[in-house]
Amino acid sequence: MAKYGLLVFPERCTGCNACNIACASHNQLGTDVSYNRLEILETGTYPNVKMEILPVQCQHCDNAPCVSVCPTQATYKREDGIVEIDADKCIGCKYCMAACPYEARQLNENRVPEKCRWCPEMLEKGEQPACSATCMNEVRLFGDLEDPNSQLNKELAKHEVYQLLEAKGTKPSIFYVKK
Amino acid sequence: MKINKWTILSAAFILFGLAGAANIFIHGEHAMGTTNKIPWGILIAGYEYFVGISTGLLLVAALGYVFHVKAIIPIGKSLLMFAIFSLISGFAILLVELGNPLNFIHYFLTPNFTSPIWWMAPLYGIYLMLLVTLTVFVVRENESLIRPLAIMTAISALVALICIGFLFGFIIARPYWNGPISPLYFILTSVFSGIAMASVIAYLHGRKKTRKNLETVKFLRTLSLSMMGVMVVIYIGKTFVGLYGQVPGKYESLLALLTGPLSFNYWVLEISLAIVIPFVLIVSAHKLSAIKLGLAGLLSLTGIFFMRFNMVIAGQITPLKVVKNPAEETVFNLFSVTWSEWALIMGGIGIMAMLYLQRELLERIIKHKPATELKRHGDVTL
Repeated sequence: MAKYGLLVFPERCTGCNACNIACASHNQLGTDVSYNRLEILETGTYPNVKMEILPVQCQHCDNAPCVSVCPTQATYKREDGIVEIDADKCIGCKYCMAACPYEARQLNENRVPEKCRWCPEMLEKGEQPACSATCMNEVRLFGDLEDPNSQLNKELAKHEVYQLLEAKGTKPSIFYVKK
Repeated sequence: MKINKWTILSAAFILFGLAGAANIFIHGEHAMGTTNKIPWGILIAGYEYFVGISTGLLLVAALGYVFHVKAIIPIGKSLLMFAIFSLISGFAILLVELGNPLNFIHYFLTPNFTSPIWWMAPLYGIYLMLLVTLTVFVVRENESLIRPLAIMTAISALVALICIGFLFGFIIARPYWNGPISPLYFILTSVFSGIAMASVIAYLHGRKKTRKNLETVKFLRTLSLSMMGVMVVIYIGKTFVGLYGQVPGKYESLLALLTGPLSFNYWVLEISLAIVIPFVLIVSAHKLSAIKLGLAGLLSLTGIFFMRFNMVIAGQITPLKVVKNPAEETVFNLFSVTWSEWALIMGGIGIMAMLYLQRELLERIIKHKPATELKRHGDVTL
């Protein structure tokens, strides 16, 4: 069984938002819901400043707080590492929204806190999730963390990487290449 | 059923609450002040408030029924009844807050034992069951079983409160809530709200001046002042620890309360109403009357509501800064409260008041008075 992960190359991101649009289009999201967002990180002091654009979404954590706190197991961790939501089980307590340190949850019209699903229907066809597939600069490299020969693992070995809010102990499945 | 101006006012509050609930059911989250950044709003605060009062009242009543504090016994029955009514109000508000209550069946089909919200249902269920049983025994004056039942109910109340404490304390994403002291905070603030409500109940009882009432008022005065002292220690502790350590997230939330967008709520509606003014009112009275204690209790209850609200909002008002440097300037998340949400809070108060006004009817039902006798009293419609 594969265990999915994602490697992000922030220095390649131009901030075009194509990932966001592809995601919204694929998941038929409303105008006020977005599973992806681009966060801008500014460092340094003028005139020595740097700017970096980081795509942020559900981190599909191995120790996901949203999974631990969901009272009905509406949010659960699949064997392939994807944190999935069963909307039919959701009572709408919004505990997952309060518990997620990445602000990944977005409440939809049915009062279900939705988020990035890594498009399992596309993965089943051997394709990349909508955001990765559409990115012109290949900012997102999606792959199997358990397969030592996967492109993802080769790139992970090559680069110095970090995860978001590592100190929270959530063990995200998304890695960011250090600039 | 007795109908007077208070019954009409309570009914109006309940109807207003129903209108708010209908608006939320029809328009969903759009009718609420909550957002993706502040998912928990005034309704969660309202739920905490009412269940806090309930458990607090029970713990005050336990002083009488477990530890034989005689001053509590005259108002004991009312404390227990109010504890039930308050819990009903809290549950009613939570029911509307839940986005999809119809999926509640999965609470039982696919339970998640690592979730404090899951534990709340059985724990509060057990608490309600024990509380109702204890009340029935007190009303029926079944002396031999009151004490053991009161002990069990008090334990269940404490466990339920600890669970609410964990509910917030477990959230690593929100440093203002996260921590081991959260359960203790909920126990102490709930006891404070219970004492405040007991003071109001003592006034409702104490309009006919008797020696027993005077003893109750005196005891509650001491209890109120002691608890205010405990609250001051909690406030000093939370403030100093937050300012001294400057832990990212916790520090900004504290600043939001002290000098930021929540400062009016904090200083005027929380600290002043919950502690300062009631303290002055109680201490300045040469001869403390039930009305002054009741007024102090009412002010404290109002302040404690904002204490709950401020706590819920302060935990979410600071942006999570997933990527940004924690040292960067903080722009607080926006929050609001809609009329529907206020209506539900007022509805909760209405439910409590209405049930209290009908307590004699409830007592008679509990005592199994024959229907003919009820009719003879002329104030009961069957």
